[in-house]
Amino acid sequence: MATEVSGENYDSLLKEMETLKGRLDEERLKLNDVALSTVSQRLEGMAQLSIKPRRVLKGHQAKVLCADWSSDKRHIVSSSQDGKIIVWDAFTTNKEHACTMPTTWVMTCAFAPSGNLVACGGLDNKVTVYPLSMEDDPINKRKTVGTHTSYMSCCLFPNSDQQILTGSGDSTCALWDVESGQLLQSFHGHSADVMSIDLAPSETGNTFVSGGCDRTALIWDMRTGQKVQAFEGHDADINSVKFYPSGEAIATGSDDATCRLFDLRADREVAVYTKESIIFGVNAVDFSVSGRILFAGYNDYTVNVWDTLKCSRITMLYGHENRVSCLKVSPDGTAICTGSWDFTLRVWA
Amino acid sequence: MDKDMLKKQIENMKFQATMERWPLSKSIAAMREYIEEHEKTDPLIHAPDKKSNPWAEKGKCIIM
Repeated sequence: MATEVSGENYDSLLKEMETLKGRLDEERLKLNDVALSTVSQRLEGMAQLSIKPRRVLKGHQAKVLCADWSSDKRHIVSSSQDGKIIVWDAFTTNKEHACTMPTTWVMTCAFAPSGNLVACGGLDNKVTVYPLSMEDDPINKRKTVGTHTSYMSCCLFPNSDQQILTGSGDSTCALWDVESGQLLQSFHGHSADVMSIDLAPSETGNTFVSGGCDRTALIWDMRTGQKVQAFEGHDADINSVKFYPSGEAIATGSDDATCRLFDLRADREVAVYTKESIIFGVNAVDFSVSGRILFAGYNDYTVNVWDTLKCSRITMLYGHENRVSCLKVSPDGTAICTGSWDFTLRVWA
Repeated sequence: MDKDMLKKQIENMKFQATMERWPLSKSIAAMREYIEEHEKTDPLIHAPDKKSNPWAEKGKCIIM
């Protein structure tokens, strides 16, 4: 008998959730009073862009999976399927540090704000930090900070060297204390692998976005662990999420071959970046500093450059000889770095 | 999804339902304003001249 009661209870809860979902959709629809394309028709087009390939970083022995800029706007850390992370001086293309991880498929790496520390992880399920110093081999000083129950797909330092935020194939995100290795907060809400996270620009502070294989992008409050907003719309895995520079919107890139823009205040999708001729998945997205340009790296080896407002493709960046796996605009906005399965990284400016 | 998760999810959706939403016209206008304010100084749109561009090839001098 007891089971029957709880069964009924479960059904009524399900029904309640459906009703709430309908109400949320309705609320969002009500505010759909104008389309982005209509507003931007009256907008001036952009001047011809002059972005050129400037540097090629060669040294990895396998697919490049992730890259991150140092706050000095000059150094880049990259991780690869060969189990290595390399710190590059992107101006000179010299390698300054190379560390071999105990695992292959180092899926993510990140520079700490100070530039003296990098974090990385992947199929080992762990997030490991390496202090960068000239005297010591970083490998002797490496330290495991946190462990997930599945692979680690993404990590970043939220505003200080003391904490690391990670996303994992175990469908959670987690905030760790670097010094003690303590789990400070965990974030439950995705129903499948988390593939990408991004921190809101500093003014908005303690918010981050995550996206993953449940085709959903979630906005989180880092202090409470509470899910604040949820965005759906993609027809396949979300591989990349990125905050719009004002912090009021997010862009997503997906295996469904589209990028999308979601506005936080309107709580809904604002734009879809797609073309009939584009049929390959998107692995990485990022904005230019003004937000006018959306860069997206695809499985067809290209980077498409989108006009965020007009939703049209401005140009493409050709150069990589295999899929573009990662892409990041430098902190000062002067350059963009791309990493690829062709074993190289490229800097464009 | 188990019952506790479902309850949490409902709790969360109720929370989400309380947020105040902007009409798209207003949020798009804000976005456009932000871009127009920052576009002029966006180095990937208006490339700095060669001298001040850290990524530009510096002239190579070959001593014969």
